[in-house]
Amino acid sequence: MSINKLEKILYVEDEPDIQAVAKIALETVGGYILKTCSSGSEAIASAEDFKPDLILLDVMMPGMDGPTTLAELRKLAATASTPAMFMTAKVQPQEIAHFKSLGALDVVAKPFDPMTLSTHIKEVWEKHYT
Amino acid sequence: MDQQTGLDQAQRLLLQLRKDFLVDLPDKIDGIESMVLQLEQTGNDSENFETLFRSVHSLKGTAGTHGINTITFICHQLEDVLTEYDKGHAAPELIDALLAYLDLIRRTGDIARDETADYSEIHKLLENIRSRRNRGKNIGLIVEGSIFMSNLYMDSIEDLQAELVIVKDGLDALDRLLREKYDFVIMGSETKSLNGTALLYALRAAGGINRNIKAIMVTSREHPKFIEELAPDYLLHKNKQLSERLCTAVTEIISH
Repeated sequence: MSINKLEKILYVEDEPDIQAVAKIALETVGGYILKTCSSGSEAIASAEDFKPDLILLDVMMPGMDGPTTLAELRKLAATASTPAMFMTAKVQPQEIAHFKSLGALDVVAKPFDPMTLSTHIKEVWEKHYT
Repeated sequence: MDQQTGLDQAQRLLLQLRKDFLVDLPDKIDGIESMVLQLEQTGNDSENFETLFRSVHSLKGTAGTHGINTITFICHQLEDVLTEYDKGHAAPELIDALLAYLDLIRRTGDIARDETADYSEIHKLLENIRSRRNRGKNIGLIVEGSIFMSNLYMDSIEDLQAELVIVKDGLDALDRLLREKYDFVIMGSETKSLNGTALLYALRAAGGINRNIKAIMVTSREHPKFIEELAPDYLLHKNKQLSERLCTAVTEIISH
């Protein structure tokens, strides 16, 4: 992981249509290197090899949800302290506070604007590292 | 690739994904419809129900991501009906409502293919379905960020045969009130995003279907000030008499 430099994002989302849109938002618009995983278990299997700078997780997923996935990723050396953000439709202040208490830098509201998603992530990242 | 070229390419790719979504939409709706038709056999305690709920939730999110928010609104009401079904209120009318919503999504998909899409007719039909579902019922909206207070409101009026919808945020409440008909609204004066006073003013000014809704405001302030014609119909204070006074207020409203 490069401190202060955001290049690689581990993206965990079970819905293929949303994955496709996020891929455009983060790769084509944002210029990031994206590893997309369709489940928490896939993310855990990929994390050590990919070594992301940021983890971006959908909250509601079948099987292992976003928070559980993050907790499991924290047990791996490659992602023990990797910054993370959640994506969810639940963005009431108390819900955001809850996700931040789980270690997230911030929460991205769904549905997201694909043309501004990467800017939002960049702003959160820069705020975290300045 | 320079930035503008990248953005242009992204827009083209997103447009193609949106078109693909709309092409696939009828098949998705057919799949959801099959699960709805099976509900009478499988009930709410089944894999069919869970898959159905997840499918509607996914459709809601995907449509929103493609900017087709009307489908998101319809799916939101679909989820409300499924939640009602899940509480054990299984009834043929609920199945009929689910099928009506799915037909509406089909129509919305047809309209969305047009770049100058006008969804106003869909919104009217959506409200018609919702009104039919709620015919004869008194529907109240509670706008309150505190779980303790919203539980207190619900307990106060639980015997009054009113269906209650709870939102925690003033902006969410305004969005609902501009689209869905309610008989009364109970609002905390200090809710997040848009406080009770601002919400009431916005509602009265908007001239929509709830412009003259009976509004009950609950406040901890001793002497809140309002513009006279925009004042709530009932102003209740957070004190020992709140529960009783709330019950009285709602009784008066629903008995007229």
